[in-house]
Amino acid sequence: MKTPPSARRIHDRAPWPVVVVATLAIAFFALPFIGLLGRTPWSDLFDVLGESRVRTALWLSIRTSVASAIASLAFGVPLAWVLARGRFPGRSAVRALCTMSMVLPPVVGGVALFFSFGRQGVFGRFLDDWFSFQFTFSVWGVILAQTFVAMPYLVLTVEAAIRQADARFEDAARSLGGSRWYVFRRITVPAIRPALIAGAVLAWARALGEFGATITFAGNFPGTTQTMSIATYLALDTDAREALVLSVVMIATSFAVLFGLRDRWMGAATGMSR
Amino acid sequence: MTLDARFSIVRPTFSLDVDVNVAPGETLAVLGPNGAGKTTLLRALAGLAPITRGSISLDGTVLDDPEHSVFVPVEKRPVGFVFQDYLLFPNMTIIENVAFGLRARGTAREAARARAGELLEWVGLSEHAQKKPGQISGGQAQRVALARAMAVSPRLLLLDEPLAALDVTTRRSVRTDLSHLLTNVDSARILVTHDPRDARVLADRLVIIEDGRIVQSGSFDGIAANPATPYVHELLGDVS
Repeated sequence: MKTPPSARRIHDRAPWPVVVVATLAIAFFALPFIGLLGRTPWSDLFDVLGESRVRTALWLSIRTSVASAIASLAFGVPLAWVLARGRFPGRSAVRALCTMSMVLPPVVGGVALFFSFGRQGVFGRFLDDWFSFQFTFSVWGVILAQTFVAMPYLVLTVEAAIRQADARFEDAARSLGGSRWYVFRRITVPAIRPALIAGAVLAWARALGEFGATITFAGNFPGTTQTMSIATYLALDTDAREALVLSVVMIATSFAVLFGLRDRWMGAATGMSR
Repeated sequence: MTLDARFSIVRPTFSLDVDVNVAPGETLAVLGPNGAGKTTLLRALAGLAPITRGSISLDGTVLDDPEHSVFVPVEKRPVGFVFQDYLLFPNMTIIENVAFGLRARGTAREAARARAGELLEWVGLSEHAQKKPGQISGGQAQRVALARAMAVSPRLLLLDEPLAALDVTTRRSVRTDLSHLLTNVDSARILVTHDPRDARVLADRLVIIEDGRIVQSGSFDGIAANPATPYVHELLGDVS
């Protein structure tokens, strides 16, 4: 059978050493999951999920991760705007400060939060004295720790989008009499909507998986601060089936998020410029 | 004189030093090669670029005067701007684009829509009101941009290369349409272009800028008859 001319394509073949090494890399990522899925007690999946300890952790994780994603949006979008458009000395240093928790060991973030917002912390003691409010060992502590670690993902995604968005649309809107705030709402935010979604989803996924900062700062109380990641780690010692089932849930979620975003994250910026 | 602007802008690699006056109902064309400072001139008048020295005043109101620390921000200036590639807001319909300025200034939705409808009728695009900017032609987009800029009744209308984004085949008819529309506009107008044909059809007076300086000004025929520089000679030579 002859190929019609229009269907002909030239495939750029990768050099074979590259293919070999890349295959090894893919295997490196795939094998752990294959191993995990192989040991998963599929028949008991729903029984384990139905156990109250697991359900409690799952529900806590859902609530706190969504709250962290919302907090990241509320605070991260203005921050991203200031980093992208603001002109002030030390902007790079501010960006480094606000995104440091991405690369910092999460435990260190948790320690920092503990000594500043903990009950005896530099700032936390005032919260306790004045409002009898404590972050530590409460749901609010979980949300704080997760937001601390998750928000940079949103900030960087949204900042890139704001940089790439054509600022002349904002000029046009202002020349028509729009105040800065009106233009931000009506022009800037709609223009970066894909990045807002991508950033919020990434922040949410990061919050869902947060472990180190949370357990260090908020502790490990079932129902209030024991999130799925923490429950998984602890279950490994007591009931491996639980650990496996919780892991499967999180793997499925993470894969769905990244697959759903596909080019949105990588191309969040390029997809923006219209 | 409605517009009275005499100012300079000094930047590390570029400087602009101009003196322009435009009366209501008059169109001044600013011609010059790329990089001469034409767009910077418009941005300064609109308030999108601050001036270094001198002053800009419109109808006796000072808009920018660094020596007296006066700077009216862009959104407070009675200035309409038609940008080179029109910059219609892609997430809004045509009529929402035209109504934007009125909405931004606090006009109620219904009143803004009604006024935007009238302006779309003026530019002959009523039937396209509900389309998105991506669904209309370049010439139509230019008229939407004009209607949008006129919605806020500016006393100075700035047009930055309004025909440059168009196909050569449609440019002539769009230019004629624009010329008819502009006769109904009673604000002072400044048209920036690098095409002398635009200047001849659309403008009452010309100013020619080279390297940030005005090298010649006057009527089209007057300048064409007695070009001051080789560039002006080259520019107007094959049109007149």
